[in-house]
Amino acid sequence: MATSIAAVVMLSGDEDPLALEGIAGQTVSADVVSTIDHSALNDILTQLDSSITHIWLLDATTYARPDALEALLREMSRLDADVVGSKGLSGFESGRLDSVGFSTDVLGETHRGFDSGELDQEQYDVVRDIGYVSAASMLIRRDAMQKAGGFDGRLDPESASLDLCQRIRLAGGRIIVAPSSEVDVSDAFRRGTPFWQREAGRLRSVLKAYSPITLWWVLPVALLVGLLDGVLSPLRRRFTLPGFIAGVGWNIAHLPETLRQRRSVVRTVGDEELFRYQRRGSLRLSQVGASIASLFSSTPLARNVVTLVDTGEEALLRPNWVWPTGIVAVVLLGTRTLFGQGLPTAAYSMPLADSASGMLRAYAGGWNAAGLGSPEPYRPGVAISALGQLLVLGNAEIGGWLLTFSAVLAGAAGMSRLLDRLGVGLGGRYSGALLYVVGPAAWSISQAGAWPTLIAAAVVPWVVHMALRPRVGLVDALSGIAVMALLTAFGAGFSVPIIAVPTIVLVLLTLTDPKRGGFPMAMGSLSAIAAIPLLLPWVGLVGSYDIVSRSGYGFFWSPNTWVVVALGIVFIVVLVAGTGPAAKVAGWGGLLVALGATVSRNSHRDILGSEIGLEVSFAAVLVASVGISVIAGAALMEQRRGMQWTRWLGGLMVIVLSVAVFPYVFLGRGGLPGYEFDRLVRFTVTDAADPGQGSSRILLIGAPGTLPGDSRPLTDALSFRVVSAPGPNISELWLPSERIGDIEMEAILKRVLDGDTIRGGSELAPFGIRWIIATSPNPLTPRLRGQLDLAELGQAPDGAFEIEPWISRAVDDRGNKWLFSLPDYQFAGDGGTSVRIAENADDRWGPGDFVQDVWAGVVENGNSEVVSYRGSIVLRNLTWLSLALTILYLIAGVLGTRLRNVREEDSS
Amino acid sequence: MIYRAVVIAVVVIVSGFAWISLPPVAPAEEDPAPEPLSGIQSGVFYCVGSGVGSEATFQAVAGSAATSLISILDSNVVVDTVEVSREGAGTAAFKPPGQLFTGGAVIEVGTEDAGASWINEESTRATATTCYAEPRSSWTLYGGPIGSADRLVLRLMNPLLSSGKADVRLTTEFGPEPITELEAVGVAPRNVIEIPLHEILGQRTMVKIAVDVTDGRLLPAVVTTTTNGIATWRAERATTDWYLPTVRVGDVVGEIAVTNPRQEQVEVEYTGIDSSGVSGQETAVLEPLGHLVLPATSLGPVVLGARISASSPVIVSLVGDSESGRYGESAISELSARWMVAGPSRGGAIDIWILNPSPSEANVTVGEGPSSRTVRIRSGTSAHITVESPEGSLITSDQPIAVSWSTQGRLSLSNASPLDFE
Repeated sequence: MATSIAAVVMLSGDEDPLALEGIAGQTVSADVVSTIDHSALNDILTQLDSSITHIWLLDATTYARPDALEALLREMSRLDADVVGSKGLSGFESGRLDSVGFSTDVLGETHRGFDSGELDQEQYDVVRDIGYVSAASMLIRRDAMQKAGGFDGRLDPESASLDLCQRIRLAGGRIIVAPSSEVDVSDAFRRGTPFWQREAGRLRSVLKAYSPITLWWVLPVALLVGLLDGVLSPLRRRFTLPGFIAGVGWNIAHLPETLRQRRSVVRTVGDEELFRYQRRGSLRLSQVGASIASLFSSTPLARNVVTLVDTGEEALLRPNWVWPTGIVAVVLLGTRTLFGQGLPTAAYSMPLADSASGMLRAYAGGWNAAGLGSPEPYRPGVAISALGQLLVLGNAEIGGWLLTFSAVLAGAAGMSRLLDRLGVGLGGRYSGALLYVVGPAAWSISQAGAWPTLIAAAVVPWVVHMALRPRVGLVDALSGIAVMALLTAFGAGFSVPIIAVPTIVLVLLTLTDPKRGGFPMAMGSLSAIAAIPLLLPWVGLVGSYDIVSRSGYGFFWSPNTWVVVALGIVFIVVLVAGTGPAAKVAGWGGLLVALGATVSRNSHRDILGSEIGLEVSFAAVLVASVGISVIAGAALMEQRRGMQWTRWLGGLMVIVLSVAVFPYVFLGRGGLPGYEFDRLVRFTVTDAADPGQGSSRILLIGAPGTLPGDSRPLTDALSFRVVSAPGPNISELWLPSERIGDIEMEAILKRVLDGDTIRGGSELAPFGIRWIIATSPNPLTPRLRGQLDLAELGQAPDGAFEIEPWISRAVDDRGNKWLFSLPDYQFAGDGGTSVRIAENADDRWGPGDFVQDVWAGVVENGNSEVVSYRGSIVLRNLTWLSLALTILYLIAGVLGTRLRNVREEDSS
Repeated sequence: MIYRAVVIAVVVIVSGFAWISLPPVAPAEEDPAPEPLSGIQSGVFYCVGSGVGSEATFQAVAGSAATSLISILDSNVVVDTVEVSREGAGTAAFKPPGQLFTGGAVIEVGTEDAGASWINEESTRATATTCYAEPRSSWTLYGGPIGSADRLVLRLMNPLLSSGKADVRLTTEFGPEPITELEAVGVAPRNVIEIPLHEILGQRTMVKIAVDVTDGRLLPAVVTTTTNGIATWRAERATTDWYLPTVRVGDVVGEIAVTNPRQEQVEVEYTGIDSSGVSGQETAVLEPLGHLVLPATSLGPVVLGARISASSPVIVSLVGDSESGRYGESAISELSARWMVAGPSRGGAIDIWILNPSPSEANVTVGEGPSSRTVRIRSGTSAHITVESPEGSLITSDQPIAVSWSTQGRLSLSNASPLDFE
């Protein structure tokens, strides 16, 4: 049968069809030359005369060199192929490769097989079978196309080519690339296709090509990997999630059509034939790894990976993302329990609020519900937590996990970047990063339940890292200060001493390495000062040092002796025998550890009349944690030749890391204490969850340090606090300053303790207290056992009581029990006209008049079903001011980054 | 190298300081109270009482209290609440609503100068006993003999909202009685249970009862009934020195029962006291876990009171039983210079019995204000004063004394409530 060729030019707009020029200059002429809109590719066969045996498809912007068609015909004939593709060369940059056929992975992700910008030196000039060829120039046998069902007109040209090639291969056809056929491909050819459309095409081709068995596992994997990549893609400055979701959505919408087309696919060979021309592994998964790698390093290599992966190139196969992915896996496994169960209630860890929006309202000038309530503003940390919670649609458990996971990961990444800036190599960088989040000091912080410090730890290395970045000009420095201030405020919003930590760390760096000058130190100090207004309104209205030192118990850091000895040996060895840079870094780390240990072990002492305090103690351990990571990094820095001990130190580091990682991963709750307290108070859930019962509180008593969050001392060895039933959340973590109700309650408890009353239950009932639970053996429990109106429940080993009769936190004049829903009291139905609320008296409660009732108050509610706190206008305005400043700092930061990028591009 | 040496030195010095830093001194462990509250401290009295029949009334008396709240408990219900708010003593009377009432009472007072008694008055007989001010977890009670027609009932009261539990161990002339049904006896909240020991044991010549409270707060009392009448007494803490201001009520001279709760031999010395001094003495040796009943008449024909000293802690009770009637009460183990007689508000005069065991003469004032009377009681003697309006009589003395009171007519004997201890 005689060969009859139709050259078909694909048009996608009003562009000048350059392809026609190329066709006209061919050494072998096409019998027919026609054009077709790319959306009508499915009609290509019907538009051509039946005498046409071969179709040469060209994109309108592609210029075919004179022998391109001849070479295609020759190789097709020689190898009896059904589809032959040309070698694509860049139409804009002479000699740059564009395509030499494509392979895919099992998920349909395209792999070019060479690096971006790679020049054509005929290194790929081998005729070979290939996954599919570019639609920029491809020769197709008509009968093969007819057998396979033709192009899918709904897909973009490249996806349509992939789809067609796979179906032709399944029908027994052969796809090859003929590099001797050269075409110039416009850069605009693929850029014209939106990402979502490529995703849609990729998924549709997968859906049509694979057998049901393959689809059974490929589809879930494709969805999972696509979502994971979508979530992490911003790390490499792209955001693929919407495009992926749109692609999935498009396929769902067109599923009936896809299934119809799938049924018409001719299958003379199995999926194995497709697999033969695919790459192993998942290119998209490699992109995920590259995204993570970009978080941990700012070196050019990592940046290259970020840009390369999106084109699916060879650099993807480099293993430099294995370490970061390993760290992510450790943190993921190490926080897995939090995902399902949320944050435990232990020490300074509490679950997120039931309502994120309610928490934000309470923060922005609302009622502080901790203890017996107060108009005192919340810490910014609770608002940040609520914002994080909103990201997961308000789910408190997943929100708690997300915050912890993100913070720990960010802390590790920041430490990796900091060590990178200090000249620490790959191994030391990642070892240090891991030690920063799961090492002995970090473990002490999390085991002590210092969740706010754990979250705040995320920002410290980043701020120090940014302070060490060379700055060009005032604008760059100011934008740097703005970003550092934002990060510092984030940390200080959870744990206020963090505001000083980066500066202290930088001061010590200047001391150990004076050649660095005072600039980083100045940056650190200025950013700390600039962070203060971001903590408004809280920082403006609770300006006493008590906010740091008041928390009820002393923390004394006692690291394991073996850890101290190992660290000491590493420090001495590096400082004595290491290179100059390594010694300086190790010296800095040593000072950090020594200072952190000294402060954390003396936080119970008074300085200038105030106790150093619990939060400072945790922050000091954090400083020590930075030091440990720095020493680890220094130990693995490049040493003088012949220094074999670096191997030993490397080995030691592996052992230390293994020991540190094991409990972290094994326990799976980010190192935080267990859920013992949650189990202890669980018995209150059933009744407390019944709306008809109203809302109640639990009075907790026990030794200082056994109660969750802040507590108030009753005696030196006994503390107390109230929490909402059936359990507290983050809105109750930090108690506000003592008010009239707190003083009254303390007096009652002292009378019970002193044996001056045997009706403690009825005296405590007006506080909305229903249960009294002891968290440790204490002298009050025996007294409570003798009270005539307390029923011991036997639910807690150290005492659990129920007050009979108890009084709901809010009861109206008709006896209806109102529910507390942060930050309001609510009652659905025909309520009374006035409500007594067991909150510290404050006349901003409304909607009607407020009348003080001893320490609490009665609110005229009219017919309203909500009693709420109106809040202070001053506080609200201060909140707005802090928000405005945050936005201002963000803008400054973004502008500074843009400016820097422009400068870098210009200089390169 | 100098730089390195300086850095090492600084780090070592700072780390050394951290190393030698001592942890904060833990606050001293506050010992949980070994026993629940004293009634004097807390202003609460627990009255186990003797139970009453449908025809009877009983009185729970709070003497000289500015405000008192008397809660009558039965079967986990506050059957009645009586609030007395006035200067001077207050008395609450309660008549059961037509059915057998076996409950008790909790009396809360707003002053430390208060005492409480449970007085059960029926038409022909009466019982009285002091209410508990100091609950404990371990009790020993004298049970006495059980004759063929006698009843011996152990009452256990739980005044709290939580269930209580106790192990009851009985020792008779046959030694410890292995009765499993008395192990872990539960008492519901705000309830009083009666354990009929006469049904469980049958006839015995001696019964000693030990109650170990394992859960909650339980208060015991013994109610004994013979053909002659009814008597009730409460438990006391075992100690070595005991005082009986009187050993006779009306014409019935009682018997002094000494019970040895320990596994060791005890030497006991009895000293009879009359208005002039020692009327007679006796000594005896008690076998381990044994008991001895000594007729008070053996300490002299006109004996008024008695002192009992033992080489080891024992329990001492006085029980009187004759055709005229029956009474019983524990002896007094703690002397005090101030006592409150929470006597009945009706039913006529009572006799207040005062024993002065101190080496000096005691000037004792009975009552307050213009109607008060002062008597001198010589060292080592006992005296009695008849009071016509006995409700809430404050007894003050310049010497530590022991005070009890008895009704005239229907036999009943009760100790007064001490207001402060020596």
